[in-house]
Amino acid sequence: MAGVSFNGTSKHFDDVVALDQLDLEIPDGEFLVLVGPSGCGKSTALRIIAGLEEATEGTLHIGGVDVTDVEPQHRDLAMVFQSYALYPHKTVRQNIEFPLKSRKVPPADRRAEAETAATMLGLGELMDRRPGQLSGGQRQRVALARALVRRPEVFLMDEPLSNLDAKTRVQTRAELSELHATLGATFIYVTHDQVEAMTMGTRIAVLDQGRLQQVGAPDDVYDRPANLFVAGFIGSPPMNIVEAAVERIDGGIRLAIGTGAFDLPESWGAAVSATGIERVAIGIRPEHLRIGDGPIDGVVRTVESLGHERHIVCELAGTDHRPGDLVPGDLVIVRQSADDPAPRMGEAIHLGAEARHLHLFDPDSGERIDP
Amino acid sequence: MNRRPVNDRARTRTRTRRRWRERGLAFTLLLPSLLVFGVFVFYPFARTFWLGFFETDPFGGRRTFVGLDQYTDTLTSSSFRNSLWVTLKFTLLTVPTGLALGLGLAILAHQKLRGMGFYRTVFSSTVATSVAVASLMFISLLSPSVGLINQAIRWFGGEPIFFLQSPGWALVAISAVTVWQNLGIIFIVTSAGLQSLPDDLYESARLDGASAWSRFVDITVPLLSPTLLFGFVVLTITSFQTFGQVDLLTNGGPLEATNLIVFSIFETAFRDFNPGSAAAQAVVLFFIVLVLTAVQFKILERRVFYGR
Repeated sequence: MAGVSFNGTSKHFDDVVALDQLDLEIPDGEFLVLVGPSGCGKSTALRIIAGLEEATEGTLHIGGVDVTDVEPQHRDLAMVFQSYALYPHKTVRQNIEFPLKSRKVPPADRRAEAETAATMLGLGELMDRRPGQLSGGQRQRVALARALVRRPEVFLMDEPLSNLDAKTRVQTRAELSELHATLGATFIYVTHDQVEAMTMGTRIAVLDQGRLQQVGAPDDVYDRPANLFVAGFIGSPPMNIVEAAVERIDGGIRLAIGTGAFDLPESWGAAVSATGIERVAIGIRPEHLRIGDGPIDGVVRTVESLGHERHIVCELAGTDHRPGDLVPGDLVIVRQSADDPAPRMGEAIHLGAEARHLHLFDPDSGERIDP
Repeated sequence: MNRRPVNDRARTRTRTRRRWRERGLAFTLLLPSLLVFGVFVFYPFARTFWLGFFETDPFGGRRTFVGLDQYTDTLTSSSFRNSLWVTLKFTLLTVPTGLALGLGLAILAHQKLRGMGFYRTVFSSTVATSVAVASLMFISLLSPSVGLINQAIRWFGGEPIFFLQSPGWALVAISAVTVWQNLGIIFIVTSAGLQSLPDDLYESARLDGASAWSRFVDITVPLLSPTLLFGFVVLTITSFQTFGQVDLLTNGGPLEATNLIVFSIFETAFRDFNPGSAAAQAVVLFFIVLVLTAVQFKILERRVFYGR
């Protein structure tokens, strides 16, 4: 098994910078998820590991060895593609055996290995079918079996669940995590779906515009987003971000939002003062906003029921950032349990949140401000 | 309670009327194509078939019914059998070579390199060249005195070869012209086929450790097999129909070495002035091509992957 490390790795496509000076250490046996929106550079990073793209700058090490200029077939890794890249004219058995056949493994051995991989993934009955005769989930398993049949040091996966229906996706997510635990190999998984990232990764690396925004355990990234991008990207529904004016008060600071304000202790005041800014971006997770007693006034605009919970979209009173719009004020989403009493649309409400659940960011640089 | 059967009858009548209306519309839409095919394909073919049963004057008039005599004569004639043998050799020389070269060039031009568009244009340009132009080019290329090829042979110290005048070389020379001319269409068709193959299959194969040859044999050939079958069948049919280059370069000679079937039919009809016999030969050629194509499909289609 082997770890992977990017060392100042960049990739340029003419004038477009797809990956910008990426420094990332992926220890042996880790399940790292590269997550970000379309065009953030996550697939480019994966393809650089695979050797399918050449890095413009920097190096790449696998198992401590510089493989920047090593051909893909000599890197000892396997990749599951978004399209699965199964050979449509070959049977499931031939597909799974192909990596072994390419490496001149004797037919009897490769048949046995293919059987083992297929059994592991529940493909025993499908060995003589062609990919066109399989469902999306079955194809995905064949792609996985083909990847694991030669026991590579590193598994690369490029959005392998994106073509599956919601139910199969949830099931396969769990199976992939289980497979990782069983094999103990290094898994590097690319997705734009932050739910996949949160549920599967040992660590997640958030990318945007080719730059690494944050890397850490899923809970750390969720609880302490490094900047406004990560705060807005990780979490569903996303974190509420509203701008507030900073006022100094006795024993702390006051963050004024519309007609209301949050009062924060001195520790925050010092941190905000140190940045020298007069406005901050406040981030509050929807599940941390309470309806009832609170300093912020708002009006309920829509109520979305999801059965087990409710998403309540509220407009904050006194904010008027988009004059002329149907809803000109700042909008926030409150996540509420289905057991709580539902507010009516148009109802005036008060919103509150505990100070420990507030995240402050510099609105210009987007960087997190910690007390 | 009793109204239901009446409703059913009415519904059946409406459906029948609708079906007839649809058939009328379908026939109306097919009529222009049927007319064109009828005048230019079906009628001439039926007429040729019919003419094969008659001995005629040089212009196809004053017919005498001779039954299957001309067909029997054609099948037993040593000249026709020689033409058939020459045509078979010609097919063996041109079809695999044309297909292999066209595919090879398409693979070369499929590389993502700068200036590849220029090469694609050059490689496909022969499709726009007439047989007359191609023949003229090869006359000057193959000329024993001033031809480039013979100049090269002389430069290496060899004796000039009389490509078009030697019985051993003439068929090879005609085949070379034909391969050159077919190259464009095979290049275009296989290039289009290659463009439709997904890149990630090749990327996956590279990661799996497959060599370039293995990627060609295990991925390109099977996935391109419908295109290759199409090329194979079309080239075979056109090789059995070749006429222009023989007429322009060798006139079927020397010593009937390039007397391909269609040229032989032409000679019978317009030099020996025997349209009836030529018609019989043409019908025999039609059935040969029909059987050959059916056999090709029967044998090769099992190896073709149509994407299911």
